[in-house]
Amino acid sequence: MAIKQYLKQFEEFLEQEVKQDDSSVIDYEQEKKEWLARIDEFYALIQKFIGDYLKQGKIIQEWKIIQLQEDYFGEYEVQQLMLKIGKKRLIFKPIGRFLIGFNRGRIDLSSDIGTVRFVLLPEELESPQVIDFNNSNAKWCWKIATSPPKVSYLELTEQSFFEALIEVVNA
Amino acid sequence: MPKRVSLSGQNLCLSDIKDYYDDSKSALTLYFSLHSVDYNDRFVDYNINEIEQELQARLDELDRLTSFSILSSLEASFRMNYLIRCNQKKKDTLSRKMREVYQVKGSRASLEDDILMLWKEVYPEYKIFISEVITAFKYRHWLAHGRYWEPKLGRIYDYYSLYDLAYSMEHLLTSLN
Repeated sequence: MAIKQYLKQFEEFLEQEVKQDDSSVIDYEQEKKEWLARIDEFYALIQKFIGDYLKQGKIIQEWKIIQLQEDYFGEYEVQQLMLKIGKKRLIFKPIGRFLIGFNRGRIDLSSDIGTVRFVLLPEELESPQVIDFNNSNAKWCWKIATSPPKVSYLELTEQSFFEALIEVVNA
Repeated sequence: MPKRVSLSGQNLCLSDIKDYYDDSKSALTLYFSLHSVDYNDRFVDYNINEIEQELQARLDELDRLTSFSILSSLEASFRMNYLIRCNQKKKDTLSRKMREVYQVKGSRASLEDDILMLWKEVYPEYKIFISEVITAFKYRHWLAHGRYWEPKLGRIYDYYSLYDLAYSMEHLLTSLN
């Protein structure tokens, strides 16, 4: 017996919806685990850079748990790091995994003076461009995004980190 | 033949918006600091946390207004590109397809349903980014209509991420002109 026209239309609609529903193909729990691991990796790198100053007591650090909310993850907890350098306070705050654009997450470093962005990006990406890296074998790593107007993505090294730090404490 | 649009020349470019954002942020930060001449009168009976919270609220609002401005600027870029392609009678596929739309809708072509759809059709290699732009315009729609409902956009939008998106799109528009 031939399938009824209205059921055929409905089944086509169902098929299309299932195809369009990202959640059916992306494991968001796994994505969240990876994002949290990336945050830990970032903080480990920062600890490596400032470790000596922490030991000497020239920088004091305070950790705080904050809540983030994202449509695909719901509410979840992340660590925020505050560094005290003299009277200055610097805050590293994870912003989220799903930002618009070409990245896989961002952590901001802010002070009274300014903000520096640390963005999870393909290693070879040097400025905002319309290139799709999602299905490539690109290596994703933390980079520093320079401020507008001319945005560049710099490799996160000890040197670029301390230059960024100076920018937000002493611009 | 649809009536031609006179371009005002008042559309903001990204660097204008960036300057506005930077100056407004610096001014707000100064106003909420001990260096402000109004500090003692304005923040009498406040504790430091309350001052910080109020400053953050102002900065968040500045971020949203500037995001709105970036997206409006991006719309202007796509629409001007559409009008130029139609009026200059360019021969490339995108311009020819745009002129077909222009014959029917003129300058009232829909940004999302006509102009950006044609971009996706003619340049499938940029489809994912055009889709990002379409979603970003949903965010602008939310801002423009009073933000009274809970948006489900799947993405976080802020000044910096929208600036990067608009910056790369402007480059794409220029390179494909």
